[in-house]
Amino acid sequence: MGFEQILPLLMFVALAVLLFSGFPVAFILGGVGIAFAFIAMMYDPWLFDWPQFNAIPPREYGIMENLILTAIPMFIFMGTMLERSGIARDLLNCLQVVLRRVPGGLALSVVIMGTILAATTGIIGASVVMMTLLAMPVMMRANYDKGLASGSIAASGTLGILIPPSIMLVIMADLLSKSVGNLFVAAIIPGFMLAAFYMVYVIVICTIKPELAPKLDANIGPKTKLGFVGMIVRSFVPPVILIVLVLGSILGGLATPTEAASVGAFGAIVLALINLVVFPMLKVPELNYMDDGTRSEDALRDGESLLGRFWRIFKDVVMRAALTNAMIFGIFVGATIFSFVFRQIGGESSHSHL
Amino acid sequence: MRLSSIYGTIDMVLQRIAGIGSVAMVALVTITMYDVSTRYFDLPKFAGLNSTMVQEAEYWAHGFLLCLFIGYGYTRQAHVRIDLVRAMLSTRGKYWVEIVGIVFLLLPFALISLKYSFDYALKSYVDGEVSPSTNGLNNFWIFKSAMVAMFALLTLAAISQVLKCVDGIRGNLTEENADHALGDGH
Repeated sequence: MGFEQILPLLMFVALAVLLFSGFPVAFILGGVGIAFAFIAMMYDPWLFDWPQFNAIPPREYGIMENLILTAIPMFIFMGTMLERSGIARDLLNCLQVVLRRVPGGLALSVVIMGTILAATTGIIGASVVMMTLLAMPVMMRANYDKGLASGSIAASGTLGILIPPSIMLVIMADLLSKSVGNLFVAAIIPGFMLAAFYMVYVIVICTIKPELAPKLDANIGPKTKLGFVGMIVRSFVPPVILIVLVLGSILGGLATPTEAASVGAFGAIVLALINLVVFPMLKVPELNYMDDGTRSEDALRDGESLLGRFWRIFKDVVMRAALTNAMIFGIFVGATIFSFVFRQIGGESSHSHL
Repeated sequence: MRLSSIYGTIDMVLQRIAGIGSVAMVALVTITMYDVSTRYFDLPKFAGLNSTMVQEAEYWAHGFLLCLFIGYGYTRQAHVRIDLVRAMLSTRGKYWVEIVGIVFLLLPFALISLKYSFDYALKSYVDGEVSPSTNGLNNFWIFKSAMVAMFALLTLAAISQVLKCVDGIRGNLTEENADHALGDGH
């Protein structure tokens, strides 16, 4: 085997080793691609030469002009907006109250919450952070087992990548030239199955070992039946409407993922407006039965108007969603260069010889 | 001249540009909503805008959004890292990993891409390229210039980060900038 055959393999080895250096993945992909282009050039000018670099920008341009991929920033925006609008917090609060008598109720409410959030966001990260901030202090104060508490948050936080609208599936659909809608349909059953397994596990382990999850005070929550129903309606209806609207229109074949994502993003803004501006103006009390004593950064600051707070949160959501989007597409750009150089120096033929 | 004034200026420029880029996110949602409402609910279309133009405007908006944020994202540690080995290094070691990575991986990648995407956008301008669709948008060089901007901003971000790491090794980096150079809690 000559150096030429080994070169593509070395490229993979270099990638694998460098990934563990902790340098950003996007730049390692791009940097290794360029470095091996130069190595190939020095070794044999027939393998790679300067003009071949001209073929890279059109490939990167192909990412930018892809209409399916424009769904990604909007799905990210939708999820981030919902998290910051207080709707997620209300939902968790409601679940904690409803499940207070079930063994491991707090952990279970985290898993259910994670499943519902997964159906509104397509990416892991933000939702895990948020659930940690919201649910972890409550579980710690209730003397939950640390492993159970953090495990339920970490496990259910990662459901976002599987349950539609999953960003990963949008990317896969684009790469494999399959329909996004079909992949979404295919992921529904495995996604919810996994979520169901988590729930069964929490219930079983908390029944066998009740000391992991001490029972809660049964008197928390609204005192009247009407208040109880009101709490459930108020916290469940908004996210469910949005999920049905977005996933329903994709799965029903009514709208393309891009269109559904824009409807979802717009809907999230409207829901956030209602929750952050309209409800406080109408003096609707906040759902706060599990007060963890901490003031969130989204609380009203001194001398700030309701619209002012909405605007501050909105700007922050736009910036965060754009940064998450940049993270995903940074990897795209780096991987484009990597795969182009890999092919040019004969990666395809050498891996088929293996 | 102190290094902090250089990377401070670069970071401010990157942040301003990202702030402008964030408008593209709002534009993207608005334009796509407009497209949806004209197509499904028969709302009137203004000023001779057709669906092709609107859909091209969608990916223009997204193109600008991602191009103006990739460099800024690096100065805000938005890019994903595999932090298994690095977490065991000392803070000094992490600065060195960052410097070596920037000099040998990121800068060649950013500069080569900058040069060739500039040629690519220039060719589009010289040729007066228009949309491949019959009734799409003109002036495609504007859209392709976004790629030039992306790699120019990425180069700037790389310079800013490498200077921060040098300052970090010399021990005069503020806590906030150390977070920006290595990630939270470094």
